[in-house]
Amino acid sequence: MHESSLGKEVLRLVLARADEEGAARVCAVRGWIAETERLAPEAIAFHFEAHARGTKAEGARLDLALRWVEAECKTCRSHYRPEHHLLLCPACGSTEGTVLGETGLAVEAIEVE
Amino acid sequence: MARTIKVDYLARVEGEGALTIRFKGDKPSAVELRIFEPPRFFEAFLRGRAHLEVPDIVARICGICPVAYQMSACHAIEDALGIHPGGAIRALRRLLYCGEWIESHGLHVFMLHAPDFLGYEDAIAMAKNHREWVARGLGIKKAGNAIVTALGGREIHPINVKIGGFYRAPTVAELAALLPDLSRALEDAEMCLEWMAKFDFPAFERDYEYVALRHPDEYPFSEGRIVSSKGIDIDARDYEAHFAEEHVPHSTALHAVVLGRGDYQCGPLARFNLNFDHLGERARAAAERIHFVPPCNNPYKSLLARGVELIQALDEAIRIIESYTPPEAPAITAAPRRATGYGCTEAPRGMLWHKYTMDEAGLVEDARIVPPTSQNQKCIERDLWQLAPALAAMPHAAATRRAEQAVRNFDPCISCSTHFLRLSIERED
Repeated sequence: MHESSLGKEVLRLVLARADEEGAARVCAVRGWIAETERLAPEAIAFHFEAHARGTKAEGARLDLALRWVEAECKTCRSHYRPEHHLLLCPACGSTEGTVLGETGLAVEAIEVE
Repeated sequence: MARTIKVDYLARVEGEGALTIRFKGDKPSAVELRIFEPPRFFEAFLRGRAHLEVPDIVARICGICPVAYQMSACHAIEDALGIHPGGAIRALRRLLYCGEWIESHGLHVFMLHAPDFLGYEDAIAMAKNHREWVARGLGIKKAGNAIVTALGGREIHPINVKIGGFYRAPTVAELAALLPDLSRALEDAEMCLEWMAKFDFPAFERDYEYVALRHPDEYPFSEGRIVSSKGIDIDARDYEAHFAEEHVPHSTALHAVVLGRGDYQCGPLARFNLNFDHLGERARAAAERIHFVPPCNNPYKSLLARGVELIQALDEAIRIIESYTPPEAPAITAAPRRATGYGCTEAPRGMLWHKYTMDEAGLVEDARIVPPTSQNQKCIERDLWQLAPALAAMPHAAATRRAEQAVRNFDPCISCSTHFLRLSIERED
């Protein structure tokens, strides 16, 4: 259940930024998570909301868009979606490839009052 | 006045754990494993919610074993309501659980644990020299994902599970479409077990108390009594009379103990040791071929127990699908009533115990959830006590790797990531 650690980490960041900005309340948080992580955005939001209880982010929505990340095979140049970060070309079987984008979880914007 | 703040923050998605080992002279004086676990506020989250909402709420607690959370919740609430779905609904639930075991064990065995044994940084590095095994592992895992998708409505957090059964039962054709991939995955899982049996397993044994469900006729998923290798044999409703959870100052995770005795182990090795006689013919034959039979007290061989359970779950999934006839209704219903119910099922990583008290309207008044990771925490620490002198003698990077491998034997929820542990070895003169 490392969704919970992630929810807590996002909350830590959001509260720190809200404090820096002198905000009284956090209303919403927007960002994305790469599909390679195999995590459901609403599960992270669920943990974020639970951790946020009793803080200035209580009741805030965490909206994470699911972002697909492709890889390019260095051998046959085909594009595919790596599973679990594994570079394993389904067309030719090569383990050599390049991930064409960022993986992980990103926070891009916070709405505050 | 609302305003938007731009943020540029990227987090790596990984677990979070720390291990401190203190020595006095050459003897360990403290071993403290700190694994972050959601404290009890998820139980608070459930209070006041309608009992019918509970399966969908608890599914979000863990992305790796949502089915386990749903099944324990359903069984506990159905216990309170006095209903026991049987027949095709029961078979479909076992099939859904097979799917979760296959995908969870597939992820753990091939992506996380096998690289430890073969000396690779992670599965990405392992794939360069063992491409065919990683590909087989992915294929096995996909076969499990396909079951969860077909029955649960989607891959990661199933939405088709409800109190009393399912919102919709699959057709015969929908399930039959899964058979080719499941049959291939079963053959691959048998090959993989033979391959893993040749790994170099560290020499390590301890006198564990194993705890798992035991059913009169089946390898356990969702039903049976809670039994142990040291004489416990109880109904799920009696769990609190025999087990307790203790707060420890160094961790947010509670430590579960057998009252009057101490740590215990749940999970694949416990199930294997306590239920070997209920394995299907195919899984049992595969285990016997590699001379892997109870009693086994080497936690590193939990890898083999997972391999055997992969074969068991794939074999059972095929048998359920081949004999499937859709239920007349996808679920049975019951009016809410004031009651307390108990449910215990076997998540891939061990027993998951739930208790719910509801009022007359079916609103949850109290919830208690004991996940497998907190049940195994003390057991993991005891293993690390025994391992501590060897760790202290290793270079720090190697010691960290070996400690991670020892923690990963238990597949705690944290180890969804390859490297998750910050190791500190402190010496008191």
